Amino acid sequence: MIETVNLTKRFDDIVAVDHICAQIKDGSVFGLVGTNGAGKSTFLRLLSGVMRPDEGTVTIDGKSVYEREDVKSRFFYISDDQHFLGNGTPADMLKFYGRIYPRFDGERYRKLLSSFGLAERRKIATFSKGMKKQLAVICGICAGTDYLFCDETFDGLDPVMRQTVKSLFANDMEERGMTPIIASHNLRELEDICDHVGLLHRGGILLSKDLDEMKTSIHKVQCVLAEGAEVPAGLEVIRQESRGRLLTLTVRGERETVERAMESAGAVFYELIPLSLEEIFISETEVAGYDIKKLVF
Amino acid sequence: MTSKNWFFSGMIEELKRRLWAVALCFVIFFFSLPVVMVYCTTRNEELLTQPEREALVGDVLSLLSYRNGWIIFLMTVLAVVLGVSGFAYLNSRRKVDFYHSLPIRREKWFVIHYVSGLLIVAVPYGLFAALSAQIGAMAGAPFGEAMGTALTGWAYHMLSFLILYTTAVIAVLMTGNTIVGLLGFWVFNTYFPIFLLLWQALAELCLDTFCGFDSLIGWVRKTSPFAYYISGFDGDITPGKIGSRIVVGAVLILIAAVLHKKRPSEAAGKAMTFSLSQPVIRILIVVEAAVAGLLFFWSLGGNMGWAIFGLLTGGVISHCVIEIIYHFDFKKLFSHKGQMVFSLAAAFGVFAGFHWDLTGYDSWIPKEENVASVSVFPSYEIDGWMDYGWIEEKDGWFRWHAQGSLDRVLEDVSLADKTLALDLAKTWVGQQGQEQEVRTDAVMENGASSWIVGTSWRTQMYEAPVYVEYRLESGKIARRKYQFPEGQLSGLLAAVYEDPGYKEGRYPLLGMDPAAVKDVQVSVCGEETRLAGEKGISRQELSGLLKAYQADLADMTLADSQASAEAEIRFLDEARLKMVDGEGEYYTWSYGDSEFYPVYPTFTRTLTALQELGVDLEPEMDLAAVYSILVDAEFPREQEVSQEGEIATEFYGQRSLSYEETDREMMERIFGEMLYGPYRRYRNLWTDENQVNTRVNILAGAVGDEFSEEYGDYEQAEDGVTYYPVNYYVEDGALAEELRARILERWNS
Repeated sequence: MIETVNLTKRFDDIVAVDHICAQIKDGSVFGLVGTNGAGKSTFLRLLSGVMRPDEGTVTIDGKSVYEREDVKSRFFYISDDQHFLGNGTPADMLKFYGRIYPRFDGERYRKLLSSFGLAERRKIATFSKGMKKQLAVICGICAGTDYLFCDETFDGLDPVMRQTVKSLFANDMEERGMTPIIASHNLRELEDICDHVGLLHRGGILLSKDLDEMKTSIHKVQCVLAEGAEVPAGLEVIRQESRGRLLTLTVRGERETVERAMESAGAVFYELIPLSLEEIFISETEVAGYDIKKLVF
Repeated sequence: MTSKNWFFSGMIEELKRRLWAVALCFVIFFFSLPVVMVYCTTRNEELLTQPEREALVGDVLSLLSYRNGWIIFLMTVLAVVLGVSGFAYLNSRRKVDFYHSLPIRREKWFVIHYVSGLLIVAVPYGLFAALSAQIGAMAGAPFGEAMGTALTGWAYHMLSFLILYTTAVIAVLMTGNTIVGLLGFWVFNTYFPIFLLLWQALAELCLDTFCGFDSLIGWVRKTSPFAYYISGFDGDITPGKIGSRIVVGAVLILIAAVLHKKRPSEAAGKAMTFSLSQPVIRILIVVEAAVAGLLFFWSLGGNMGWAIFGLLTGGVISHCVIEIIYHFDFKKLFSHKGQMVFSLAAAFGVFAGFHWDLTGYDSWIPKEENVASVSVFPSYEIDGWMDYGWIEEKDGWFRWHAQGSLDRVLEDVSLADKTLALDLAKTWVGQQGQEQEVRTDAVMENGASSWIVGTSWRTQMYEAPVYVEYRLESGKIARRKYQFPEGQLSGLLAAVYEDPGYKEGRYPLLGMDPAAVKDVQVSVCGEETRLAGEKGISRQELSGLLKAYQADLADMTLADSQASAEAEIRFLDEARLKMVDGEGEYYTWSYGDSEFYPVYPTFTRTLTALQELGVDLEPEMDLAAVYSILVDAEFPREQEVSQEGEIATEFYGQRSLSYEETDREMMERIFGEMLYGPYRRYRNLWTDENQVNTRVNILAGAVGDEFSEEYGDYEQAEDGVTYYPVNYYVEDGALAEELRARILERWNS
């Protein structure tokens, strides 16, 4: 498990990461979301030991990350603009990473290169942006590490490749318990892959929850109540909009609880509509006092 | 790479990454060593004479040795190129993310990048140096010597490369941008030498008694890696020289390793890596630039207004440039105004400290009880003929290394009466108050355009400066220079001259062991005699001659030394004899005419001993052998000018006029009074503006070849007569006056 306690990083007057406490459990996909400049990349660079925290700690299973070879050999970091050896080819990267990561799977690396249509002897400098992203993901997956840190990795991949990469992640999670930590500003991309999501804003973490938990504990209800009836008192309404007699409520609580409340209130009509990740964040962050529309969209 | 072979694995990857540098070094060293060696040694063996063969060997060894200047240039350039390229990845966020996220400690990356830079140079240089030594050996150089020279050269250059290379690495580590890193390397190499030069300039301009030029310049080699490299050329490679470079290199490596460890990854792309170093470097550079600006404009404008203008422009411009570099933003040029003001104030404080002598440097005189000993160098006008040096033995040959007289005399002399020097200092300090008033009056008269910079202002003629070295009981050594109005010092100089401690240090001959004398050279007006070599005089008699000379020298007064010498003499021990006899050999040219001493008319013991040994001290010159005498003298150059409505004569410099004397009667009179020209240098404090120079043109073949070869090339007159000239002079007097009149008469006609 990766744990950060009061993790803080400042760049001159700017607090890029502000006292973040978070836990990333093994075996789940952790999505790190936030706007540009929210501190996602800095957070990942702190996790990967690239930077030394000004305050706080980053540990993996209780061991500090910074300058610890044994701990750092447990993860692979794919930055948002991954560097490859100068004038190198995918074959050179295989040799390089093969020396660094003891569990690097060369055979699988070659297979994946072939599947992705990447020539082993072609200079990486001649690859397109998307091809470089693919190569970085292949390197990361084949490194055989417990954790894979991905910074905006899906940005630049075409939809087919995105799905392919997601399935690769799913495969490795299932087969060897790999834990991907994915930073992105695109919530829709993370929605169908992440198990747990942390929202960063201005260096601080607004919330960190399991996605399923979020989805089952928050609902959008469209209803028409009987003449003179009021919104049931037992419902925890986060947000309420009305258009004529049609009410749109965002409520917290189990599905069954919400349904019982609506029926007991004598609703003429009601319907529970699933919320997207974006809508969940809007609701949650508005509760936290943030104007999420400015943050996410 | 977590396994034990991380170093080799890392090195392989690093060398692959820097393959271009490897290829560059192989090509450069290939053309710089073996190709040049083959070019230099390609000769037809059978056609070579022995000297040419020896010269060839010399060329081979010179190419391989540590004194090969081209290698210095290469090493300096390669140090910068490899230092910057090896660690430039730290300036790229992408690369930092890549390398620092890998499970390899930063120390290991440092070792890998650092050592690869060294090996990229060391291996091709070593290989091609060895190959060149082999080629040189095939061309005739002794194999062992060639290989040893190559190895020594390689070791010295590699150590010096290590120092420069590590300096470049430190510059890169302290900055986050390659261009700024290169500037940093330049600053590391030039800041302190410039600082010392400015310090020197301020002291020379503002402090009347400052004379520490050499000691300050000596510090330059210790404050700049490049100067340290160059300074290694002096003398041979010694364990001390190698050891000091190893220590300096080790310290620099340690600094670089710590900086690498401490360097934050987020520094990539910034101008400066460490926030702490920013104000320190900024203030240091701005202070130096402000003082430099002050000195420049002060020397141009000559008054305080220009000095302040220079201080402000130098300081403000440098501050703005640094701020722009720090922020990579022109609009930030006036950031940190407080530090700018502080820097300008500090620069003015430095200037004020010198200009108004706030530390009391000039007026400082040590208390007598604190002075262990004192040394005095009266001036270059006294005993300026003395030669100082030391003898080095090398391969059975001896070599003379000349030394400057000021340092040598101040080190060797220790006055028996130290109050002589202290009184001199007190007299000078006492006069300063009066002189200050005169200076102020002069400024008032001449206005702001007057030259009042330091000691350049003078209203009257001054003696050459007297140098004093105080050796204090505390072990500290202080030197001062005092300058007095003309004529004020004669009594004091006479007292110093007769101090036994002065002569003991001033004349090394007084310390020569008479038993060590193997031969003596006596030269009378250019005619030289070797007493043992030519006249067969015994060593015992030579020892007696030295004792006589030492006694005369010890008894000599300043007045005695103002006379024209009768002869000059040189005592030769074994080493000196070898240097004289080995004429033409590589090391002997250095001795030349060094260490001849004058024989003054008052040196009666010496003169008597020489006469007893059969040395002719009055060689007769036959007037019949003289073709003519060229007489010349200096005359003031004058012109008539109009001053306030009246015509006046204005003098501007001197001009030399001459005529050729062929009148036998006049020539005979000149013969009776003329003194040998080259001996003028032995006359202490002697100035004679009215002297007349006489160049005696002696017919070729009139005297022995030895004499004629010794003095001057042959010349040919219009009538075809061949002669050679010998210089004499006539002192001020009736004859000199008559000769001057004849010159003017001929000139006017």
